[in-house]
Amino acid sequence: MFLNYFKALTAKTVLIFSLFFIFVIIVLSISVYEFTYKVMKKENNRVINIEYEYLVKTYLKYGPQQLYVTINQRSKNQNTAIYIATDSFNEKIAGNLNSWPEEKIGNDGFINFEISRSLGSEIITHNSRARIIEFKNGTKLLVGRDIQPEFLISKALTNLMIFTIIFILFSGIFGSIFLGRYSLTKVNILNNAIQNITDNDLNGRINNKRINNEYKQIATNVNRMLERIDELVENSKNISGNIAHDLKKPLTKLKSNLELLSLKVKNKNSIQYISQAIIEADNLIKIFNALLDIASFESEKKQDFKLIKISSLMNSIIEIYKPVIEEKKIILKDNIQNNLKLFGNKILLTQCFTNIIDNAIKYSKKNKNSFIEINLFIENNLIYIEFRDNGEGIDEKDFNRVFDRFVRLEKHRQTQGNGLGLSMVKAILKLHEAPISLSDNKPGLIVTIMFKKT
Amino acid sequence: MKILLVEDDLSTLSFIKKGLKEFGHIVDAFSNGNEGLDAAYLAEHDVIILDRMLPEIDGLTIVTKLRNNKITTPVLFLSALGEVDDKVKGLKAGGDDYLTKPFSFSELIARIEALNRRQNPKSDIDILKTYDLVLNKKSRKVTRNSILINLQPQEYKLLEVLMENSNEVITRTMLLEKVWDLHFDPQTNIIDVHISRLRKKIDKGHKIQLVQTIRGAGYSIQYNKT
Repeated sequence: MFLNYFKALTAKTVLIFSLFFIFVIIVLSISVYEFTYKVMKKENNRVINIEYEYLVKTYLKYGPQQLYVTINQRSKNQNTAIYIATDSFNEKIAGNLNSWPEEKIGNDGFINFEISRSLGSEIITHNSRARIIEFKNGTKLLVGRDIQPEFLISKALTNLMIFTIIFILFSGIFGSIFLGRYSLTKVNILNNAIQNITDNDLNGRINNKRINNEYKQIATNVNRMLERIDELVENSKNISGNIAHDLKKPLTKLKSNLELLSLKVKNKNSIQYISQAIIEADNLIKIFNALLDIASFESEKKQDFKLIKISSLMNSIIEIYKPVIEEKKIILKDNIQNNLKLFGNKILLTQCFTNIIDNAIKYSKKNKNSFIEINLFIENNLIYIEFRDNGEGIDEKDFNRVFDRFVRLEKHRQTQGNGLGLSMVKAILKLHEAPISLSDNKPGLIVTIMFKKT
Repeated sequence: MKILLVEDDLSTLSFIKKGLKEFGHIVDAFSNGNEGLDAAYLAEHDVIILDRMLPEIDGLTIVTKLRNNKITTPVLFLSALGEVDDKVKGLKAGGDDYLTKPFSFSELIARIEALNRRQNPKSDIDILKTYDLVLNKKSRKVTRNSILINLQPQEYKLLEVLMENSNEVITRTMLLEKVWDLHFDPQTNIIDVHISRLRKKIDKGHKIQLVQTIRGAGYSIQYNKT
C-alpha cells in the first residue's frame, strides 16, 4: 500500500530532494566542524605547546627541583591545565594529576585521556589532551589541558548533524508518502474516471468536484475533448444515416422505373438484364436500409419494449432454422431453458439472433462434424444466450473490429454480405443494454449475450 | 379493381398509377390528404393505397376517420418510415397492410390483390382446394389425390398461406411475414429450403406440379393445365 505511493512521481521527487538536502547538511556540518572544533583544538594545542616548552626550558635551565616547584605553583592557580611529573620509578612527584595515564601517544604527538575529578560529592570525567617528554635521568613530564568544551562541541556538532539527517530523512519519507498519496489519489480519480468512460463507449464525464488545481484543469480539458469526440462520432453517424436517407429516394425511383420497364419489354434477353439491375438496386437499398436501421437503433430510443417470452422466441427461431441447418448437413444442438422472460423488442431481437445464426451457417465448415449449438440459460440472475459453432471462427485480434460498420475480414471477402450484420446486432443489443462478447471455441466461435433479468 | 391512391410525391404517384393501369386497374390518384379523404367518402373503392406522410392531413388520421365512419375499404399504407413501431401504429389505426418504401411493384400488386381477396372472400369455408390437393383448416389435414400428407406445423402454415391465395403470387416478404412473423429478410435463404421441403411432400411422384416458383416475384400454388 505505502510502497505504491512511492511510485508516484511527486513522491520520488520529494525523496530525491531529501537525499540532496542530507548531502547539503553533511557538507555544511563538515564546514562548521572545521571552523569551530578544529579552531578550538588548535588553540588548545597551542596553549599546551607554550606551557610544555616553558616547563621543558625550566627543567633544562634550572633542573628538576625548579620544575617541580613551578608545576606545583601552576597547578594551584589553574583549573584547566593538567600537570604531572614522575621520577624514574614512575612515582608522582608533582602535579595535579593523580597518576600517569596509560594511553599511548597518537600520531599528532599528543595523548588523549580521561580524567576524573571530584566536584563536591560528584565525580566527573573530562576529556583531556597532553604532551609528554622523558628526560635523560628518567624524569617524565606531562603537560596537558582539560579539553571538555572542545569535546562537547564536537559531540554537539555530530549530534546536530545526525539529528538533522534523521529529521530530513523522516520528513522526506513522510512527505513523499503524503504527497505521493495526494497526487496518486487525484491522478487515480482521473485515471479511473477516464477508464470508466473508455469502457463505457465514451459515455459519461469526469466529475471534477473531488479534485482541484492542475488536476481539475486536466479533468476539464479531458471533458472538453470527450465532448468534441462525441460531436465527431455523432456527425459521422449522422453522415452515413443522411447519405443513406438521401440516396434511398433516387434509388427507389431507379428501381421503380426498371420494374415498369420490365413490364413493357417483351424481349427475354432484355428482361434478364433488367432483372439483374433490379436485384443490384435491391442490394443497394438493403444496405441503405440497414444503415438507417442501425442509425435509428443507435439514437437510443427504446422502441416498443415489452416483456418477451425469450424461451419460446428462441424455440421458434430454432424451428424456422432447423430445416435450413439440416439441409446443410450441420448438426443443430439446442439447450433452451423454459419460461424465461426479458424486456425488449421481439422483432429486433429476432433479427439480431437470426443474424448471428446466419453467420454461423455462412461460416460453417463443409464437413461431417459441423455443428451449431444454441443455449439459453439463467445464471446469477442474468439471462445468457450462447451461440457456439466449430466453423471458421474469428481471430481474437478482430473480436472488436467485426462489430464496426462495413468491416469484412480478409478471408471472407469472397463470401456474400455487406459487413453490416454484426453492426446491426451490436446496435440492437446496445439498445437492450445487453453486452455481447466473442470467444474462441477452438475451433469456431462462441457468441455470448447477457441480458438483465426482469 | 378500383383503387384510390393518395401519395404526395408526384413521381411516385405517377409511377404507381401507370403501373396499376398497366395491370388493368382503375386508379383515382390524389396528392393531397383532404382530397383523398373526400374521394374515399364519395366513391366506392376496392382498395385504398395511402401514404403515411401527407400534406394537410396525414395517413393515420385519414384511416381513423374512415373507420369511424364505417368505411371498411381495405387500406394499404405506404411509408418511408420503416421502423417497427410505425408499422404497428399504422395497423392499429385501422390499416390492413403496410409496405415500406422502397418497394418493388410486384410486391405492391401482390399485396393489393391479397387485400381485395380478403375483402371479397370466395367463401368462408374451411376446405381449400387446388386441383387434387385439399387442405382442411379445421382438422389441419392435407391430402393429395385422397392420400394423407404428413406436414410439420411450419409446412402446414406455409401451405395454408399459399392455398388461401391460390393462383396468386405470394411474395417472399409476404411469406416471411405471414408464415414466420419475420419482418426483415434474413441472409440465409429460409424460404427456399422450406418451399423445397413442401414441394417434396406435395409434388413428388405427381405429374402435375402445384407449387410454382414465379421468377423475381415469389411463389404460388396453382394448377396449370398446360
